[in-house]
Amino acid sequence: MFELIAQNLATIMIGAVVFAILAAVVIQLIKDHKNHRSSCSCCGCKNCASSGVCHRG
Amino acid sequence: MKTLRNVGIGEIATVQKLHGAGAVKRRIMDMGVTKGVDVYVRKVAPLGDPIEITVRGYELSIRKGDAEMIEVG
Amino acid sequence: MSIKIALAGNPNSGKTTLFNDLTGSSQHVGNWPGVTVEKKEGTLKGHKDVMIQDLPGIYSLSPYTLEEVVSRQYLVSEKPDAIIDIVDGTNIERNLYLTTQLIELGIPTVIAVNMIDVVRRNGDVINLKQLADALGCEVVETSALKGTGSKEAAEKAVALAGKPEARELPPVFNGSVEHAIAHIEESIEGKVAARYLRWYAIKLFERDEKVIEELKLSDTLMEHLEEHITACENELGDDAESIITNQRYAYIAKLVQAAVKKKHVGQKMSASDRIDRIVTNRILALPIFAFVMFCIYYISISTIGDVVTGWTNDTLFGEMILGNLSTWFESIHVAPWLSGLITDGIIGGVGAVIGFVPQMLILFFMLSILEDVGYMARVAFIMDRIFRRFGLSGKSFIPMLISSGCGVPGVMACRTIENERDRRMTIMTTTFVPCGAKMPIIALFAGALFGGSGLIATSAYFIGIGSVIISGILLKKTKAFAGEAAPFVMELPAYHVPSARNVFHSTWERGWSFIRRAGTIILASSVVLWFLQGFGIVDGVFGMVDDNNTSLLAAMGTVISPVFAPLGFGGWKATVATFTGLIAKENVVGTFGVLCGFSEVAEDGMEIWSNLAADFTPLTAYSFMLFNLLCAPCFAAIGAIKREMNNAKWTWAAIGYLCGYAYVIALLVYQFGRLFSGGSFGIGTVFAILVLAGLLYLLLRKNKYDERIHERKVAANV
Repeated sequence: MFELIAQNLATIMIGAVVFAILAAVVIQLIKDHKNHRSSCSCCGCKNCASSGVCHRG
Repeated sequence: MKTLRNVGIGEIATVQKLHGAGAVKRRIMDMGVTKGVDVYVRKVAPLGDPIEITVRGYELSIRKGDAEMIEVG
Repeated sequence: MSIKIALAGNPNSGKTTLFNDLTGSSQHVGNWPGVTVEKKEGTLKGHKDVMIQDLPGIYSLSPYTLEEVVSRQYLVSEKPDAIIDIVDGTNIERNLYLTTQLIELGIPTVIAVNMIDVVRRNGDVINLKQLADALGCEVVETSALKGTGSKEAAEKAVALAGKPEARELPPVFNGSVEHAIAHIEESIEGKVAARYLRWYAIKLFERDEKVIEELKLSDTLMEHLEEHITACENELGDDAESIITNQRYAYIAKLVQAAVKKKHVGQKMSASDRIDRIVTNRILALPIFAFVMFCIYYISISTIGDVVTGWTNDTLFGEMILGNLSTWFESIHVAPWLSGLITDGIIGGVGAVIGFVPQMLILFFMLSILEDVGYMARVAFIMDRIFRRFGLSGKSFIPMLISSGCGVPGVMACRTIENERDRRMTIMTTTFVPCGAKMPIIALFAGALFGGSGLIATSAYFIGIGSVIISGILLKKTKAFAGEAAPFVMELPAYHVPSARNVFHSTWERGWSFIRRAGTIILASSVVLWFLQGFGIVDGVFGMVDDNNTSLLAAMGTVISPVFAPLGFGGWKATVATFTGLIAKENVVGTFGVLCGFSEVAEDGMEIWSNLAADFTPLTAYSFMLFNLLCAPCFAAIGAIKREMNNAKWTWAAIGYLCGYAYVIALLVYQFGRLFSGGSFGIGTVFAILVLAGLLYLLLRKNKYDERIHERKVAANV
């Protein structure tokens, strides 16, 4: 079994890195969705230049 | 009856009376266009509508259709 | 003992800035129950037991608009302990109009004369003490921008909250009106809380529908009151509502004349006006607008953007990353499938999108400048006339402007449209305008098939606006949307030099969110896609495939692709790309990146472009592009539509309409384009002609709802 790991070490390690990145991405997406933050540029309108027009106040 | 619609750019007119009824009339009055106030026609959008007036020290844009309700003298 | 303080004032009076100043980050944003009006509250900094309720910006306490009704409701039933009334010092007459109404509520009020820095700069002088004496309130000067005075205003409000003593109200109304109001007060005494007596009496005098409904007074009493009101109306020759409004302003005019000394008397053409003479000029305005948009797209996509994107794709990705990465992987014996996943899948998909970041940044930068300068408000002014023809007001244009950045805030901006039908219609059509995420699609095809022409982007933008107008015409003739055009009475702020801070902040915000999406959603989608296109069933065996035409993804795509055949792009890759666009519009580009072998290094570098050019012709590319730009937006935007419509039926209707419309347009473009470029007359052409006929009918038929509107208007004027 160890030979198997040794042979494919590079694959396993790089694969683990890729997997970790993917997991992080998915978790981030779920968190965003839970906080009702759209993946778009809007986290409340205070960042929008035209927010004065939009929010009448 | 001369209305705000007939006032040219750069002219000043005094509001005599507001015709019409309901929400639009109330809104126009709420914004300060009332009997006796002077309005200055600042600009008219391309295609003639809406028009921008200076009233009580600030700029307001009104459609020509609504300006028709404002009788001036 | 907790204290509630309400924050009231005109729109654009600096209320939001003051609210932020007072509450810092302890804000909570929601909705007033049952309506799509935003509700903001927070705790006063340093006073955990003091709650500040931000009321919507309003000009008056009339019963006609949602914002006003919501504010009145709050002030009367929630009984705040004090009110901070924000008055724009540069626009004092109109702002004091609301003030006179607020003080009638009998709630302790502090007046904050805001923008005092601008007042001083103009050379005007406001006698605060005189105002305070006349109105019976404390008056404080503030400059929300400079950050002065807000704390003082809040402290005073807190102090007042403890002592609700009866204040003497200014003599706003004269003789017979005051007499009638006093009479009404007597008649309803006991039916309402003592503090609000006067406010209710005045509202009854105005025949305020909502108050009448609320109080449910006996018929005899109502008749009695009616006598008094009519008597006044006859005496003064005007209707009750107008009498009240006129007298308020008459009082304010006198007060302001005494208490405010203005430096400039008479009308002066400001710099803003001089600019506007050209920009909103009858003949020049629209061409100028078209030209401005063209320049923006040209500069960002065709010129500077093109060069930088070229470098990013060829050099950065092509040579530096991919070249070295694959070699390294080989040298350390990484399994080929993993290597493929990383290079073709992840880097292929994400890289294709990231390649457009330079163009996007420049685009966002230029749009931010336009917004900050104040030009966009002018555009709403200009577009109003065109929109009014189709039953929309210029107010519907503003969400569309915001949509050119991102559709989500654009849809949310529809809240400011009071008329429900107009609001629904604008929500449905605002995503026609190409958003930031759709830009890479345009840029990709512009580059691959149209030689990087800036016209493609400009045409897409104006087709978007045109689609809104066409939809307006179509829908206004249907029962669901027919109705009078909403009143358009709007303030135009002066032009001002764009603030570097705002512009950079705004550009960075959007740019960063673009990059973030690429690193998250698109990355995940690319991985999934790569697997689906890398595996398939060949000769009954499931495994990795070399030619992605035999993959699982291709199989799925081929099943659906006939639907798009009449539009000219019936290949499975195009079909798959379109569907991935639902997750995020940039995915269309990312998908092509994965499927068309972005990562293959070629001599001229733009491998994806030539692969794309092999699959599309200019006509089919344009048709494909139009379909993707006009059809249903990404899930995030659909979510926003769902939230704003608040109704499943309408949400589905919106999506259905968008997809249907996109299909029709792409169909017409492709079929007629083919015909005119010498193609043969086939069943597709027949289909297209029928569809066109149907469309023209819907557009040109007489609006049977117009009659009713005309009748109602005539009746009102009689």
